[in-house]
Amino acid sequence: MRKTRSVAVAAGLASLALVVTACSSTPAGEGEGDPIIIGHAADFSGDYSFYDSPMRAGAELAIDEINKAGGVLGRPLEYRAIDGRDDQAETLRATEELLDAGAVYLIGTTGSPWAAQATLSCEAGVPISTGDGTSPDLVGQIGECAHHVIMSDNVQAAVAAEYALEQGWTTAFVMRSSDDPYTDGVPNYFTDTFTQGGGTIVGETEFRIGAGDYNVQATEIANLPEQPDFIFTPIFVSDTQVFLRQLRAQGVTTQVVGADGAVDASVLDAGDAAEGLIATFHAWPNDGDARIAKFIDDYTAFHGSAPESMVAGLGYDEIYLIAQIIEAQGEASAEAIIRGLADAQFTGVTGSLTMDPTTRRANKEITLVKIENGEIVYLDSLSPKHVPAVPGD
Amino acid sequence: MNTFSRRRLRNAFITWAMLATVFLVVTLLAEFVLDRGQSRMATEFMILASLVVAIQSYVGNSGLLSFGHVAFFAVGAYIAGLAAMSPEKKEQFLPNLPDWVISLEASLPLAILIAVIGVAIFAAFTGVPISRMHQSVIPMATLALLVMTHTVVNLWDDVTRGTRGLVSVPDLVTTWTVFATAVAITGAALLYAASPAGLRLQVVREDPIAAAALGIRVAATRFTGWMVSAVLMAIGSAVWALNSLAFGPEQFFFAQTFSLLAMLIIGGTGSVTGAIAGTAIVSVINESLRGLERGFAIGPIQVPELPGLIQLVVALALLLLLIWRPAGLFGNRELSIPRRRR
Amino acid sequence: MTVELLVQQLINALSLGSIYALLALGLAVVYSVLGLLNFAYGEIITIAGYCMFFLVSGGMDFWYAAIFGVIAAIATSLLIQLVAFRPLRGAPANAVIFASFAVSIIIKALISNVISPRPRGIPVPSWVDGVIQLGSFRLPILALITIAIAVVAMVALTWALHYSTPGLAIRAAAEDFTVTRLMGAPAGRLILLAFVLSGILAGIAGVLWIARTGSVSPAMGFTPLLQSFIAIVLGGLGNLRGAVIGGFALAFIEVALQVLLPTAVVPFTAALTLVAVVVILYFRPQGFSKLAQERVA
Repeated sequence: MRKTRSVAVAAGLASLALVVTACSSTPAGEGEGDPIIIGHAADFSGDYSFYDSPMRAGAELAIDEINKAGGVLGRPLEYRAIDGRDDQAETLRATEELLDAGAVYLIGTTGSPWAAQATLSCEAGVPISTGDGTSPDLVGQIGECAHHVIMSDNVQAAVAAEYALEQGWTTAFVMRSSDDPYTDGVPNYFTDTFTQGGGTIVGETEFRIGAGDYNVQATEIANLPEQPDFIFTPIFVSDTQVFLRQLRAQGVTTQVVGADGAVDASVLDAGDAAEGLIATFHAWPNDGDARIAKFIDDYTAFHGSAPESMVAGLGYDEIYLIAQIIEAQGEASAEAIIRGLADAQFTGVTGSLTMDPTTRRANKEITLVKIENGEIVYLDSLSPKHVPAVPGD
Repeated sequence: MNTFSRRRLRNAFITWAMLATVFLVVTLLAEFVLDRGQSRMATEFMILASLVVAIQSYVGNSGLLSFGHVAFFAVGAYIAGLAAMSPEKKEQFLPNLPDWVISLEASLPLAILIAVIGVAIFAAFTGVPISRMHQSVIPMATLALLVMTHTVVNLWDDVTRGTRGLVSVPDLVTTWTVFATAVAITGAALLYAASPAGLRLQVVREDPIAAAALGIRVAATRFTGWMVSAVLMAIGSAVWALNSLAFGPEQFFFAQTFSLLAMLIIGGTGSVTGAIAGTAIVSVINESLRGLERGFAIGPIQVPELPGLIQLVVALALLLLLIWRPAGLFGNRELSIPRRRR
Repeated sequence: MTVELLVQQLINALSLGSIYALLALGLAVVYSVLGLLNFAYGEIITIAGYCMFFLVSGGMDFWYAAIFGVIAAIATSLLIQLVAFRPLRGAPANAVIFASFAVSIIIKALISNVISPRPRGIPVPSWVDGVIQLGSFRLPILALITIAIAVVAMVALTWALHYSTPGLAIRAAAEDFTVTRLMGAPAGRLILLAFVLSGILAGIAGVLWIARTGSVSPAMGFTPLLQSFIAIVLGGLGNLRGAVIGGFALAFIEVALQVLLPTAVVPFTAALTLVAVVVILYFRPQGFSKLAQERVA
């Protein structure tokens, strides 16, 4: 009896699978008035949903606005987001489904399945972006269709270094981690520009992502023979909070400079310890910029709450960038978008960008933010004079 | 216990034939019926089944839980991937590799062979101390093996490209090669379980002290099982790698370990059939829920999107199944022709 | 290395070791009675953390919330016992391990779906981050609190295990569960007691961990779980005193490797620690042999 029950359950599941897949695989047409499909196969439930979900929320708003304004080339945009759960097989599956549906452009995942996903997309000749992936060596390794339409780590690290030199800070202590390409790469780019500009790295230490304890590093810094002008580290939230609190508890008052991984409202949980932290980021609301203010208002009206991260602005801009390219090319095909992306110039809520046709990366101004009185505030926007070379370019 | 029992061999062949038929049906569906996404999933299922069966050949026969098989998975996948990558790509991404590695551009069979040799050497080195440990600490030692391997893969930039992973790994695998792999690994696992060496390991599993009293060399028997399983794992990993386009160290850590072991435990560690059934169940749950996860409407009620639903359902299924049948769905039984009770 | 630096790093190792020791004890209590690892152990800390998160955001004082956190930890520990261990009594060890693992995934998935996958901050009172200056030595207050609470908890536990009947029964069970049952100790109640103790220890360790990290996230239980695994292996599986020694040993090894190794080799710390574990497993498995026989039988 038990056996029959399990067979029945299996049969039920199998037929459910058939129904579900039958419903979801509607073929897409290619004619006038048919929607232009933009796909987003990314992580909406795993670790990288931290970045990919805000991207999606921003993209949804842009799609809604564009379609209300009559679409692109008279055709509506259709945005399809599929959860790859940060699982490689599942992300490939989702990517394939989007390609089969006739997507002309894909927003990629910020997580590690990106390389495989982009390879698949390139085989189909469909352009794909890096999502919120900022590592500058991503697109070069894949090929012609991969594009990096946001700021890159080499540029943001260079901006951090040049901003520091501008303040007259000439000695830096660097804290890095080999656990991730980001925490490993950013310090290298920083060191390149900082030493090039005449700064000195007085020491380096290693940390483990998610260790929950950075007292050893804090003690090491506290006992340096002479405090450096500042400490540079690409540490992520929520490690940032732990490190800052433990560092301040050791009596160290030295300036800390971070990168975009540290810019999240949660860094304020560190309270007084977070005060004074400076970090580089994509963009930040400031009094002089009406675009961002309008974006936040529109977003709040559309989603019912303010964006939980400014990364939403990146998703929003990416959709408008692609819409602008399709409009300019007069054609909504993958080839036309690749052609248009090569030397695209675009201004969105997160700033202006110019695509570099040789590296296929965007040149984009970097924003600096600072924590003041328990708030993240806009500090400055810069483009670096010395951009560190990227291995493999 | 030193010669093959004819009855066991015959049963193994019958089971093999039946399981091969299942794989054949899946392959034919993938080739002629399913759409591209679904046939990718069918191929993925057969690769995963191969890996789970390879793990089963150690865990099932020895009764020892191994977290270390994903270490073999990593070693096999990287070796096969490096062997098959084109010299230009290796020159571009991994210029510090030795010249003979760079100039190598292996075909699928050669890549598998090199992976098998590499993993066998790795398994021999780790297997000697692990087989001699007390059985209560072997799972712990294999867990340590996994963490150590992951650390090295993560940091050895010149060979593995560190956390950035391998890219431009050629796709050399077709549904039919995956089918052949799954059938071969299944056959080898069944044959080993029915062989004198496999039987000795099962005796050790039931009672190591009694087995030793019977003159079975416990450590040597465990070592044999470890090696057989590692070789099968290497074959599966090589095929996995050459179907993956790109992969990195995070593919070979706790998440992967638990997902493979969960499939094995759901189906039952005691049988090859169970290993394959467990993989199938998880794949079917996955496939059935991926539509639901995106949110859907029942009449006027809009059910919201439920990210993470699949994980939740797989875990619930695992828990309920274990409460209902602690030995997994199939326990120690293999698929066979029903016979009258004697 | 100056004396100040040495003393400060020793305090770091001691305070980290106190947390590891409590964590390892909590895992070892259950292991010593059942011979099974509880893979959902990390989620006890997670739930304690989220309980504190809600209370503190509701305006409660951090340390009052901590008491409720410990209570939530005990409840979670008992729930895990009820769902993953009790229905599987007598089942193969692998099945129970995976049942607890399934519970761990379920709890994590529920938290990410119902609350949020994002980390949430718990504001820790700022005096906790203060320092006591003693001559040229800086003593972080949180480190002192951590060491003090851990010592009190361990002394209390030792007293209870030596002078109360249930405590004695637990110690006896850790030595030999079968014989203890034959002597008339009720098995079901012993197991419940082990899970309650495990919950208390994980709860206290969890509170100290959260006071250190100041945030909660669905996957926050993973690091503590992994560290307590390594610690109890270092100290000898199922041996309560060993768990404490293992916890401190792990912290000292980690701190020492981080301080002494050149920066380029530091990333290998985890691997090197585990090499030590494997060497211990290889040469000293007899430390755990009693329990192993019990499980085979």
